Amino acid sequence: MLSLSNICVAYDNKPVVNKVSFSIESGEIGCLLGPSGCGKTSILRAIAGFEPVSEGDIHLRGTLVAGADIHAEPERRKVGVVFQDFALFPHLNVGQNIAFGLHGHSALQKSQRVIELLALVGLPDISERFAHSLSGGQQQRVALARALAPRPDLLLLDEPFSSLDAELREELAQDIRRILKHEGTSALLVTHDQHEAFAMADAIGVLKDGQLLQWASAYQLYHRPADKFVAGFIGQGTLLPGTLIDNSMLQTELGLFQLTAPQVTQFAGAKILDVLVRPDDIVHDDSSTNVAMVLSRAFKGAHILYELALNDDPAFRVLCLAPSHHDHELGERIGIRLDLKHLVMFNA
Amino acid sequence: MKRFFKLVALVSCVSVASFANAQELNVYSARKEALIKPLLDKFSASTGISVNLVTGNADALITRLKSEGKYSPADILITTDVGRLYRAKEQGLTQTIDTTSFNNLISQNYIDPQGHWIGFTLRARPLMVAPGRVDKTQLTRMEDLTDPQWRGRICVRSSSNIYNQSMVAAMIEQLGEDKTQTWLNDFVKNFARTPKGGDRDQIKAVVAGQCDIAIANTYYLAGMASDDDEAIRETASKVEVIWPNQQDRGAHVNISGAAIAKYAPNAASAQKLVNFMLQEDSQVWYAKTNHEYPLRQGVAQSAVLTSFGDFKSENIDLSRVGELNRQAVILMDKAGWK
Amino acid sequence: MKKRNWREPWLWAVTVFSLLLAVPVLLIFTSVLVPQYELWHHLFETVLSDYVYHSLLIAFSVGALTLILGTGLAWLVARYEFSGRRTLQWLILLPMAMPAYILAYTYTGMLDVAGPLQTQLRDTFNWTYHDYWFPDVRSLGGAIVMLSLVLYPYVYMLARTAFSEQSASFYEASRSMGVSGFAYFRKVAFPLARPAILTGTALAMMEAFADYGTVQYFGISTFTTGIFRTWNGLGNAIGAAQLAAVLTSFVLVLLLIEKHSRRRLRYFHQGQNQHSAKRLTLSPVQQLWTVLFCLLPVALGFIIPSVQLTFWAIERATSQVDEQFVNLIWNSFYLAASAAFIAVGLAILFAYAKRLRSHWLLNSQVQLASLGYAIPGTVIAIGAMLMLSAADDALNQLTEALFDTSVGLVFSGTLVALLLAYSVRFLAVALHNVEAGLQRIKPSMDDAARAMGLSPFAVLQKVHIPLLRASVLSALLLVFVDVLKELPATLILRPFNFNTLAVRTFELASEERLQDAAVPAVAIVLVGLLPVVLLTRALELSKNEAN
Repeated sequence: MLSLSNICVAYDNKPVVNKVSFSIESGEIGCLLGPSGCGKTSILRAIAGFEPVSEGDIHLRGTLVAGADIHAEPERRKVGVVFQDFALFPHLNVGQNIAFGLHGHSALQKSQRVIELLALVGLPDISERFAHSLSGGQQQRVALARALAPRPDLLLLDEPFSSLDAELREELAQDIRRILKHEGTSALLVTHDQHEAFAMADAIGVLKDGQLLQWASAYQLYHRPADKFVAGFIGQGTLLPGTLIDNSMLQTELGLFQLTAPQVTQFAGAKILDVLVRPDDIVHDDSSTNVAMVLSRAFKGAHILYELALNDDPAFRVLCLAPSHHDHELGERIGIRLDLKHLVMFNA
Repeated sequence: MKRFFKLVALVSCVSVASFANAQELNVYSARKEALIKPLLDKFSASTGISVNLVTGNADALITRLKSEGKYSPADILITTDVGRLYRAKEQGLTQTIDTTSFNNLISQNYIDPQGHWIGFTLRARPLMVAPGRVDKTQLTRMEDLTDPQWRGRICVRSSSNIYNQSMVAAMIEQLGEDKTQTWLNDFVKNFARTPKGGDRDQIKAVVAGQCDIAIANTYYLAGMASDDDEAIRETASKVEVIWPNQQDRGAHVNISGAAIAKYAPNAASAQKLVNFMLQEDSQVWYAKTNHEYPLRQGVAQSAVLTSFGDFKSENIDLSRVGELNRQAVILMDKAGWK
Repeated sequence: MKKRNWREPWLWAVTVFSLLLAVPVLLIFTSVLVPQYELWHHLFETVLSDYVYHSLLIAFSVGALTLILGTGLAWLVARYEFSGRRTLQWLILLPMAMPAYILAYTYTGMLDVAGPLQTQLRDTFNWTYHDYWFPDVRSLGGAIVMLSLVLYPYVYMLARTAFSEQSASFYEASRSMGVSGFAYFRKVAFPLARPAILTGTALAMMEAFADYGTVQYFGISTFTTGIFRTWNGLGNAIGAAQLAAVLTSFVLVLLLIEKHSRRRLRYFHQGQNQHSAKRLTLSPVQQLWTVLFCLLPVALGFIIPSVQLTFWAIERATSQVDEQFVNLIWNSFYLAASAAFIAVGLAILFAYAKRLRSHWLLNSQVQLASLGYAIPGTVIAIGAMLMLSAADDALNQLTEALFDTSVGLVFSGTLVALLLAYSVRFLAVALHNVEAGLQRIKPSMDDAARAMGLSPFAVLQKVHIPLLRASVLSALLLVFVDVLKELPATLILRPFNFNTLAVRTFELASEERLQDAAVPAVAIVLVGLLPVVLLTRALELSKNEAN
């Protein structure tokens, strides 16, 4: 449905997006994730047609819509956009807003589509009302309905949840995912919040300083981050230094690890490597003889996130997510067991 | 807020004049400043009385006089027509002027019977035509203007102008209402265009060819004929004056004159000004500068006016013209004279 | 709505001032109580239909023309990028410095039957008057064009601000749904800007209703000339006041319509300006047409007449410019500045009263006070004169009773009368601007500041004044320019030995000395230019500040 190859976007001759490539299949929901200023919004705007690309191509439904020589106007791209501030027209009521993009439809067809969409987004009776009388969540749903009304090939969402309350976000994210899947609409979401990304997207791309570091599913990003930045950005964890022995074994405070064959090739010649240790890799086991000292703790409801010092040495820290009835104090030594399924290592 | 009060106080101090000063004279003049100020300066120079001048539309001045009531600082009202003088008197805003010294020097037509106003100079309102396009033998009386041969060939200013109103009022006095109304109805049909502009514009329109006959005051044409600008002098030279009704009642005339305000704080000075204005050299200057006919007998008129020819003027009491002004406007409205 | 505390002194000030400002207008309306059957019978039979027809036609035509012109120009300048845009956007405002009657005199002098252009035409082609057709400047159409040329900047200013404030995401959302260009303008941009545009158009129409100088010079009978005529020719002051009351009613209806349509549109200010919308580029041909379109009104409304006036003025400069002339300039300046400060001071008081203690009684007082904008200066002057002479009467009676002396005229015949008349007439202008600026300061800002421990006065000082500065400045400048150009009220109310540039121009022009009139006319335009230039700067600054 959507494919970008090596696109660069520049403002005032300063590049903000550098050779980014990814693609989204029909019916798939993608996400561009990254801190502010990483270029994700610029990519979105380039796909929509609000910004030109200085290099590379963008294809929509197999057609070239943007490149160094060609720039199709947004009006022609059949791309729907949901804006951060919703941009609902204040002078039109909800029904008129939603019908705004329906051209060449009869009045009857328009009103039917409006009813259909309002039902879809769960706001059946508000067609006569005006944007200013709606709550944030309602406005967002209307914005979504409006963008979906003309049945676009692709839906773009620019930080759609940033102006909403935190509790609403996940619920809405799941709702929107459900709606999109129901309609079979491909979508690309842009956000800085990984929880939204996890709730909504099939594939996520992590961006930093205009470069795409990794494009994969949430699980892949979490468990097989390609890059130290991705590892640090996604989820939580610590990096444990280890010494490489014989090019095939890594010695760490947690024990000895065996490298796989590809990893041996990858890290040939290296001396010190960092191992990514996620909180779910460390299991709290009172019966274990391995103990670590509690440096800090954070109550999370069902779990407590402990920060532990291996061998009482704060230089070697790991995180441990334990069921919250295991209530231990700071300075206590608690038993732990290693349950590491994915060995993720980076150059030090 | 504080600023406001300070400003009011400051402004009031600056503006409030002391009115009962015997060395001052407060003049409300409908005559434009440039046409009267030099004479007032001369007056100040010769009498030592300093003059404060307010110029404006005559009716506005009269309304102001009326509302200022007995605290009005105005001493004397100078107008450019008799209708307003009459109105001022009618509204009880005037007092008597000592006219004894002038009874032999000025025709009684130009002094109010009760002595509430007096004229300074005279002007006439003849026809001005393009000599090549108009057969003068066909146009000897105002009544001739209603002839169909003049359809679309007459330019005259709006009926809201006091000079036209006085002219029609004089007609009512001499011909009666019915005849005047009939005359007006037919006269309006011969207009070349909806009335617009002033008297000079009518003269210019004749020269430009938009019409062939204009009605205007003599001082306008005289002023144009003696203008510094050669183009204007040339325009003036292209029209000729026809004096209407010379075989019967005479041409319409009007005065510029003055009345002394009822509550004038400096009535004596006002009287002095009236005397001054009717002195010979004042008459000469005033008449010459304003291109008007001096009222004082024995004073010569300007050369330009002489070139328009001698004429016989109407012999009516101008106070009647003032009285009939309202009627005149009603008749003009009915005739559709815009 | 906060609880009203009737003991607050500043609220009483509002009541007192608004009553003071309303009295001249009210006095006019009380004239209706005195029946004038004969007069009205006569008017009805003859000229009343003309008055109604012409006044309405002029006002609505001017409204339509200024709406189209002002909105079109504002849209081009706000949305599109073209060479010369930065200069043109303030050039467009220039006709505001030119009073309509000066425009009328100038074009008449240039284009009339006897004027240089037609005379030249006739001489060159050997035509007589009846051989060719030339548009008649001194006609109804001419008056409409003159007034529109001078009044469109009102619509332009307000429309432009409204357009540039519209959030960029509206445009982008619209584009993503396939609506762009003119369709976008029609469906989104214009409706959103409608409150501002309506206000500007209403202002222009009210000015058109109140114009006297132009229609009088062109010989068109409207209500304003009719008022003069009934007052003068028929000697019926009451009747004149009644005509004034009718005229005011027209304007009241206009005001009501405008207010009503704005009420529904209150929520349009909510689009925050996320990132300023990038202007669209135009092809060279399109740019050329745009530049020409922008230049045309300025050329007609300002450049051409200014050039002509300058030529005339230079010819006559030596004879006209003397010490008296310098005095004239000083008087005009001083008067306009004083009036501006008073009007804006009152406007700030009223605007704050409405904002902080909004109440139907208070609001209608303020509304009543700002009606004067629609009333012809002449009529306000008469009302003011009546009011102040009554005050003087009372004052004198008081001093006589208490101190056995009379103080003469303290109010009427002084600058107080003029300043009162100006305040009545121009309060609305100041109020519109100050209110618009105040609207941009959300009540939540007040709450935030108060929560941070600032007293109400400090809130005023630290939060409001910096944010309001641009609006207050533009209010001051607009009133300044308006007073400078004002004619009829000044004519009637000015004190002894006090002449202004406007009066001088009028006197000379009505003596048909157009070339001489050019000298003070040029001075008016020059002095009136300064505020226009400063206004543009202020608008620029406030735009940048908001960003």
